[in-house]
Amino acid sequence: MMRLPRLRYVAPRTIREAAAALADAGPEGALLAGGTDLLPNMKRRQQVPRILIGLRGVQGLRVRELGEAARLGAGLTLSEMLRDAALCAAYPGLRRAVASISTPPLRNMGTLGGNLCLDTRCNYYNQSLEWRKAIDFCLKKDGTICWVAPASPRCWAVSSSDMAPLMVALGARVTLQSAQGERELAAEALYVDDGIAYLSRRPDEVLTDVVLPPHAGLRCTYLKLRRRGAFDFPVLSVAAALRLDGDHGDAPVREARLVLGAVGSHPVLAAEAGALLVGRPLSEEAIREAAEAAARLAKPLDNTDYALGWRKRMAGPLIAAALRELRGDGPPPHGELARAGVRGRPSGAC
Amino acid sequence: MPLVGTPVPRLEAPDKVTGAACYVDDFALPGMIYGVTVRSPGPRGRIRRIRLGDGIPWEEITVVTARDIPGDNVVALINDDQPCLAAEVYNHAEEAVVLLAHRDRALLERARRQVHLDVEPLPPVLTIDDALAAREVIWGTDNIIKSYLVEQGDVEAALREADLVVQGEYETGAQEHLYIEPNGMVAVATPEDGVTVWGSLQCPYYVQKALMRLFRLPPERTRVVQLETGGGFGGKEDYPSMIAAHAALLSWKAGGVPVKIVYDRTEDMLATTKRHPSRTRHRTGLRRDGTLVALDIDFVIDGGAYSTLSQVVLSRGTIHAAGPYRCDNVRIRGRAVATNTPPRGAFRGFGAPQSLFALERHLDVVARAAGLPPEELRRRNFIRRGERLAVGQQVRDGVDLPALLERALQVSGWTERKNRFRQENQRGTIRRGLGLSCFLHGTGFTGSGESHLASTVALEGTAEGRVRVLTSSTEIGQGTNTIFSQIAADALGVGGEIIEVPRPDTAAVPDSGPTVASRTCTIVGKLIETAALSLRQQLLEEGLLPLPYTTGDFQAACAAYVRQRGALRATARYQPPPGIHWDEVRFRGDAYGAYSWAVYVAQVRVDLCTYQAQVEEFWTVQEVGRVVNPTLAAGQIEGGVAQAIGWALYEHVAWQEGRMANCRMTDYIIPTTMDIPPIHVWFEEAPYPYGAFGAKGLGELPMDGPAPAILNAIHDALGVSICRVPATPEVIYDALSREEALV
Amino acid sequence: MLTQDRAVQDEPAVRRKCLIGLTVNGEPQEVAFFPEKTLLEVLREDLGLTGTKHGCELGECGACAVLLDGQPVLSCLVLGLECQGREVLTVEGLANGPELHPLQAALADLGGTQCGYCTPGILCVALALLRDNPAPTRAEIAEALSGNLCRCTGYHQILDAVQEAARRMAGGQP
Repeated sequence: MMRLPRLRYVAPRTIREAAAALADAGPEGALLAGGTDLLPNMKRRQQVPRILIGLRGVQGLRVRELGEAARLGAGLTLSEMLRDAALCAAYPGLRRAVASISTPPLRNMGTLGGNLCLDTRCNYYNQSLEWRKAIDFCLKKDGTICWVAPASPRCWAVSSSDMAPLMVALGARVTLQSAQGERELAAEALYVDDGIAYLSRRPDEVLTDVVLPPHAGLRCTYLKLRRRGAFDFPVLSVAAALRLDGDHGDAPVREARLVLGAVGSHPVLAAEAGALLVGRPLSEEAIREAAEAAARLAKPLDNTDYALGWRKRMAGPLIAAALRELRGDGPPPHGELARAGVRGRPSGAC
Repeated sequence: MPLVGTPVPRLEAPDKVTGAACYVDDFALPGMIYGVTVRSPGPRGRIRRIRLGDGIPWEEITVVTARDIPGDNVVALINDDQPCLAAEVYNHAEEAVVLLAHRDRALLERARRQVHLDVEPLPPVLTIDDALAAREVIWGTDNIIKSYLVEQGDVEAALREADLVVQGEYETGAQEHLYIEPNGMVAVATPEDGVTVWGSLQCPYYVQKALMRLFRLPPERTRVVQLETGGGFGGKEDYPSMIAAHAALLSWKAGGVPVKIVYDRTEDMLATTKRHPSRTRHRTGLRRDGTLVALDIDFVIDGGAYSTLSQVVLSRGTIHAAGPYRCDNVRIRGRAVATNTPPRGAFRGFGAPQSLFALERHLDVVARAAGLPPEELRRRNFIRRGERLAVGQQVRDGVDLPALLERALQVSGWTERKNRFRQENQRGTIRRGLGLSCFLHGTGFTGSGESHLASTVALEGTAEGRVRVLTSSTEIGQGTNTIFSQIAADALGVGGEIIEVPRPDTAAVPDSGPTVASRTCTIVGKLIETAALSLRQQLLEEGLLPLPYTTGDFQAACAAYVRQRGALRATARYQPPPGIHWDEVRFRGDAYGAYSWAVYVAQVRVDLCTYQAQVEEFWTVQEVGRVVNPTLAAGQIEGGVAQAIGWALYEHVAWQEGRMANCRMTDYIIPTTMDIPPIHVWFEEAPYPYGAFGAKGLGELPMDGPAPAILNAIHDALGVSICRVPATPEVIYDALSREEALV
Repeated sequence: MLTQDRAVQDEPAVRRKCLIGLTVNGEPQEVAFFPEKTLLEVLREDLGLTGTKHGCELGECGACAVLLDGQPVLSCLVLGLECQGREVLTVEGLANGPELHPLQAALADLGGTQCGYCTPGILCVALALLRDNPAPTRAEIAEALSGNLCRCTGYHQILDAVQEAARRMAGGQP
């Protein structure tokens, strides 16, 4: 069996204690929430913290408030969010994104904060120690070369979180606490376009909660490409959030935020594409222009599952499909949404 | 009441649903230590030196290299070209070089990382084309492990005279078995007591043969015991010999301490066998009326670095390449080539899925060219009873392919659905299509294989009035225990509750051959039936059994016999059915005692936005002789179809310098509950007189038909021919783009 | 132990087992183990409960699923010491003495277990499903089991068995 490296475990009771433990541990420390990302990485020695600061018993990380807006503790499990019918009704895109993460048992373990801070992924990085040793490692861990772009000075590992693009599209705000105090920042400011230093979270900070914008009048959705109806990380995703000047789908757009996931080391906010929509109804022409503008930002590299050319080709159609859904066309027939699933037992079988 | 034909619940199911079943990693011996493997870094090279790094208490660790092998450094199988441990050179990535054992697994893991191999890389051969070009020769004189030629009539003349000639090239990729239980073995080995291994395996006597050669031991001092085995699909046919050898070498060197080796998932995916990748070229001649007049087939499979079972895989693939059709002029050239990749091995279907994919995909292309519906082209060319297959075998089964086809078209609503899709496909971005495939699968070993094996089974009556069925056929999930008990009970005329099917142990069971080739139920089962009749006859002849008798009478008779006469035992040994002849040299004759026949239909939807294809519904109609256990049989068909859907649409092995790059279950994509359509299963039963209670083989059959049916359905939906599996969205997108570029 | 610690500098020198109390299959247990052990390793190696299987050890197959405080989790990705004071249910805890749980019986009767290696995880996940939703649709069962890979059955006989178990548990005769 693949084993975890030796470690020491600390169980703080409060956010303040957790932040202090993190500060004490320095570069040897890591926060452990659901463990579904960190522990596999540790088994493969991609990450080797010596001190794990367990967040399980920390008070105050499991806030769940829903009024005009919502405040969600980073320690909520993905399943807890999914089971909250009012929350899912208020933010249908959130429901879609959470339901698309991995598998039911992993959603019982994984947390909102954990998914927002998901380590970036890469075909050359998410490998066993021996496999990585055979290619002399890579820039992200133990090596000097980024095998995806050997001439590049940076790491191109891919942001593979489903929550990250959604929260950036929603314009959510996140709170970080450290021994020095707390600060709040826009979700998009949490992410950095670098495969190694992919978060602006300082090493001694704990992500504590996420505040969503008011849901009245908000239209949001999330579309994800993957091969199967479960397990898979996104190889391309689109999160879109809109507000219209009116109740009907043909009303002009007041505000639009389109975000591409899994095409770079951070969620890519297509600000120009969003601006193109403002003041116009969601006509086919407007949708096409916005989709083209956003798709230009999709510059995936060859370091995830699926061929590069196809992933790049999919960005425009997926954005257009998301916008059509938000116009009120009904759920798009793509990807897992169209999955035949397992229907009835065939009648007349043997 | 007879048990054959009824859904008797799986015998070992209570153990499996309570967690009591003992798989290899649940098995422990006192004082047991653990073994790990150090593997080659690249696809080909010379090993200069093995260096043991600093900071490890090496004196505590058992270290084994090729020099420690007491006998021959080979994994004995067919050609004996594969070393157990690489010595001077390595020929594929992840080849075993050094073995380590210690009781502390954490230390062992650190020690593994401190074994350094100083190597000199050599230029590798990584593709079929590179192998055939033979600029680097890595196997024999020309990289060709084996070739076969099937010839009948005059293909060139027939192609010249044909009204229409259609060519095509088809490719299939490697496939990982992905049994959910990783491979593992426990061994105890000393010069005094010989070698005993326990583990996850399909073929106890294959492992025994390999160990005897490696340690120069006689069979009576080389014992192999199967433990509960968590799936095989061919993946635990040949490779377990390697792991057993490694564990035994470590135990031997460690002075007889029990050693356990269990692979983690990544190691299992990187190092063990896969389905052979293939490339098939077809040239087909036909008359204006759709009659096939020439089949010219060039079938090449990639065997990897060592020959393992490649020649046998090749022979089955070659024989199945012309499918269930009659054609006077056939030429099939089959070749297995070597590349510097981990050796490919047995995988459900064993070469037939590859060559049948090419044929059945190609026939849809041919039908279009001939202006015929795909079902009509096939109907006009089906082989009939009394006619001869390409290898010259006269079909004796009561095969009725037109009836199977009609049934499949009817139950799938073929015509109605096709018409509906034609309308619906005019609008929107979803395209639906239907595709079918018609195929056969030979039961048991190819050619004279069964005669060479000469399998034996034994039945034993006990003093307690119970009957033990002794065979080396393993239960790996397919239902061996259950069907054997049904067959023995019915042949003896008793209730199933007095039948025992002990776990195979070479010290206790005769060699009934390997658990492969869809042979267990039909061939080994038939031997059980024969031995049972003989056991019953012994009791009758002794006058111990009244007629008619109850199960209780039979038990009393057994007990009395053992009390009065001693051991009560009956054996049966394989005899080929009468009139079966195979000419190994000319590669002609009766390739199999019987064939199972099938027609499968797939309904597929393709999303023109994402190019993703999904199977929406699947119909299987098959003739497999008598169905011994309907629940288990349907489970085989459904599971095989699911595995074949994976091969057809999802399962892509990504290679990087001859090493698997997506060696994780999250990146090597097998279907989940969300990806499997409704699967309809219909059996036609035409009892085969030389199979147990009329049974033919069925375990591999469902692997053969789905891929071509699914890709034919994609062709139907899009009007674009996809010639390779897996048909991932990228492949479909590329094909559509090429088509658009041509318009 | 000393030689090991000298051998590898990248790991902490202090080696102390942790001792926790938890309830496993209804019985209170105390168990000591090194802090890096997962619940799967503790169950299999320290508590002798080998019914829970490992298929990948990375959360990618579902074979090691158990119920932790009633929720299906993958025991290969849970630290043992995070189970202090909690309730674990494994496949060994399903049957009532010699009497199989209806889910176990249905899986055995209807072909829902072939090689059996994915079965313990599937049973635990299905048990939680039927507790929360006693009459699930086939699609709901498929969704609940979408994190449990099976390579033998093609899933249909497993789904059949869960549906049948739900019927039996609702009072229908087998």
